[in-house]
Amino acid sequence: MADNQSVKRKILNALSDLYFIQRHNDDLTTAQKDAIATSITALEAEYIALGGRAPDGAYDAIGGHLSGASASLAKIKAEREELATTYASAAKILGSVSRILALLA
Amino acid sequence: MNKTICIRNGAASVAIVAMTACTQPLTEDQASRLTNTSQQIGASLSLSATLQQQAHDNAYTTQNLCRYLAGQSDYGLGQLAPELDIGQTAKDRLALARKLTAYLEALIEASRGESLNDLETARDDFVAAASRLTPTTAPIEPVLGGSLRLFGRIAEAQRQREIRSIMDGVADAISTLPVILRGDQAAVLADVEAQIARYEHAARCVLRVQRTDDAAAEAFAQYDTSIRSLRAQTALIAAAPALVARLRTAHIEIADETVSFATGLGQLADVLDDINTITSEAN
Repeated sequence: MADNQSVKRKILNALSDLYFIQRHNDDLTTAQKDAIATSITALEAEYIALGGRAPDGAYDAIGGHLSGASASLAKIKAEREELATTYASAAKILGSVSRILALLA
Repeated sequence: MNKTICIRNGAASVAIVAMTACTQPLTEDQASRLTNTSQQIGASLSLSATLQQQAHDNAYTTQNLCRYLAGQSDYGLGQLAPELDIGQTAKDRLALARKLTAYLEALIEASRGESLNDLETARDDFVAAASRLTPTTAPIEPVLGGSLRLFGRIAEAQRQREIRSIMDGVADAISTLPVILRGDQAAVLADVEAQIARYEHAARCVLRVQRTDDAAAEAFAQYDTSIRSLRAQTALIAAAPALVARLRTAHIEIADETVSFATGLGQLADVLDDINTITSEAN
């Protein structure tokens, strides 16, 4: 069982690399692209054929990345809101200043 | 409306940057459709745990009813079903479902037009206040307002680029998820089916004892519906790999800018319609 798990983990690592190359390498020849696609199909079939449960930590690793992405996205939203708040308080201060200036005039 | 402001900003070299960030990344309608979608994807991943639990609880109650009807004295009343070990895979899927749903919600929040609108309103109020400050000199609004709007648009374009790059990372991170889900699908479905089978067994016991009763037909219909509904929901578990694959495709299209931000997210929302089809066919 442990062996089966480690084989599956290796297949997932290899697949992860192949998906990455497939997506990000623009200089691949048609033959190379075909070879990668064939390998992916074969490895996927091999992984499924092994059956059983996912290797320990396979889900966790993906979940960890998703949590990191959520945090970065929350920061983008917060940045926008912070900027809006800054504008709003600056507008308030300018409003008071203009009223004082009007009194002085 | 935003577009016309952008064009008035002038400077041709920055007009393109300004234009791309001009449109709201995500409309409210798309945002609400996407929220539904993310909940459905989350459901398809967490169902392996929740269905097991539901069938387990039903089985426990029904077993007690069977004992009671059979005249046995060891039936439980008002007791919780003993805790079920739902298995590591179901737990893993449940944990991932929560994280994936949280991520999709954050993505929607970061992309929706509402916070962008708030920002623009606040900025315009600021410009208006600044203009009132200098009533006698040359009007400040066109100068200050124009440059702040342009600045805001470039900053917004930058933020949208960041969102794309986050989505780019997620597309790679979830690349193996469909095959992982397909790999342990059989084991997950077997776990769920085992609990439904226990429930069905207990239901058959109740019906056997009750056969001569007036309410027998009603009880039969009730168990029939309940068990059928549980089995129908397993169809959504089976859809999980395909849904995640679609999710990845949508991420790649947005990250690689083969489609616009809004179009890509809109396509993501179409996944919802597919899920509805799957569930309605199953029922």
